[in-house]
Amino acid sequence: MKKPLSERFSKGLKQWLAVLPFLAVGMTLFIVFVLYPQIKNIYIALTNYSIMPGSENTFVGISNFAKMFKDISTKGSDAYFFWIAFRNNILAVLVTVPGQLVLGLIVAVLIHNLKTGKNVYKVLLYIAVICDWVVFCNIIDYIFQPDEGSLVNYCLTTIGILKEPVAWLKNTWTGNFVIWICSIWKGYGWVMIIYTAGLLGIPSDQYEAATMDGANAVQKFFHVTLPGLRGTTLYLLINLINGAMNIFIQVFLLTKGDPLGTTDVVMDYIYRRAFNYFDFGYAAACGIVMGIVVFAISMGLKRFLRYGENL
Amino acid sequence: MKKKKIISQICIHVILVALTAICLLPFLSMISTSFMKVKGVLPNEPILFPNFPLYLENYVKAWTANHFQTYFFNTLYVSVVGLIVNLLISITMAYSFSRFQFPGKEPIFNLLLLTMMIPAQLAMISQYTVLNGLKLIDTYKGIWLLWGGTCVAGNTFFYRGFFEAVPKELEESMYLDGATRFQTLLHCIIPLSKPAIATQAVLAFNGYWSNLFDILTFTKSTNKRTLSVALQLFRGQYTTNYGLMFAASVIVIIPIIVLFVIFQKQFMQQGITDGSIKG
Repeated sequence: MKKPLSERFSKGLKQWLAVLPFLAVGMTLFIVFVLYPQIKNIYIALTNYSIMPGSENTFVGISNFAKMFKDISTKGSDAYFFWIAFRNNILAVLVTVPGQLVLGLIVAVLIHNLKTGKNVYKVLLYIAVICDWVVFCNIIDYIFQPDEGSLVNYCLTTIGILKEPVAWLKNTWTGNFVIWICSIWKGYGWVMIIYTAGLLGIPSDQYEAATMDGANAVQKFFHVTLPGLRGTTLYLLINLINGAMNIFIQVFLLTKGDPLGTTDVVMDYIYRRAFNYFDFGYAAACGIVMGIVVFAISMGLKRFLRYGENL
Repeated sequence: MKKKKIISQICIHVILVALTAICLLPFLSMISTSFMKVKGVLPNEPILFPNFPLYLENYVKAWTANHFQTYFFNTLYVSVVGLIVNLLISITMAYSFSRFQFPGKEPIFNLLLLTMMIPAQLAMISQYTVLNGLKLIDTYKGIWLLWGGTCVAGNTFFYRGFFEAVPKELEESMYLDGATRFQTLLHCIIPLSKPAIATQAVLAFNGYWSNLFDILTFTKSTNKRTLSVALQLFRGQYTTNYGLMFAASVIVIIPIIVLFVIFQKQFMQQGITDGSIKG
């Protein structure tokens, strides 16, 4: 039994008028600064956009997108650098996501099993998370200096792992390595906090039942703890993958993509293209491709893991 | 049996102390370096503890030179106003979605969630053109409005869960006494959601305080710089004066550490975690 259209319309209108004072400002700002920019990105990507007032933005079709694939194998082409950066993002996902998850989980389980002093460890390990990125990268930069007296070189040469000091930030793979270490270090404290909350949500009778069945600590971890953290892990996984696909500030501050763009990542590449070279159209096109990739990964992961739950 | 438990407790403590020490060692090194005269080439051994008496000159210099104080108060100003805008907008938005019925409510809410899946930084280019079109480049007003817009999706989602957990009976009795919507929000919902609001507010303040790219990209004049931007530029200029750079860095993170220590209970117990587990 639906009411007549006019009645429903006037009811809806009344409801909107009631909520509007609370909704209007936030919604307006959201539309102007989030929704509209995402749509405008598409327009910019299809033109050779210029921010100069009065300049004409000619429609160039998909040529900005085509540029991402043109001369891929030629060293020094735009496409070459884009895909190097993209490769580094994928490597960052493969290294930093498992790194943060495993480290965060181990520390969370250890802290969870403590009787006293839980909060002290949590607070101390969280300091890196809340630390200013610029300050944090300054510290990383400092301890990875090429001098033999820098913290990392000194420790590694003293133990005997290294024969001579390494210029960490000047080489492709050591530079990438420092970026990964930096990301894991700054991120795992957050993972730990989320996991400790997740651990509290596992009912203790499940552990008691496992003890009755004669399970040892390792068996309990794999058969009770891990399944109990499934939802938390899914949430973390999506967030961390998103984060690793968007790493930017540590690259911008530590290596600037050097040597020769081989430690660059897509966000840094886009930022430089846009704000150093004012190549807005091409940068926006790269951004859209990256956005679609990240979105697809998140959605795919959600589907895939939810699907598994019903089995 | 009891003895075994004590041993395992000690083992866990040992592992955690070692791990915490490794994680905090670089911070210790930074603080110690800030109390020393380190310029140019690094000494042959890493600095873990400062020499006594402490060399305080770095702090005096960092605080007084290079317009540091201007940047400090710029940062304070831009973050405090940013936080107020953030709170006003997020709370009213979340209130709309938790206590009102209106056509299109859930589709709009889902649209907010959808934008969270697309990396926010990717919109920077068009955000620049929007701010440029509104003549808001190089103004704090533009930064605040931008932050107001970008905080909507995440915070509406976060606070909505908390507001919906507040029992409706309380408000109903207030309405019987003739209270308006605004009054119930102010006197019932907000006080009862204080822990959640405090946690989110500290997080937002931290984000604004240490923001680098928005200020770097959307403002131009030197007198609008904030600490993060100044520190980043400073690093490029005086890359070899570690003592001075770290003295400035320590001043930059002290307010955040203090805030965090004050609110740590809320952080560690619910707050950040609650909203996320539900998601």
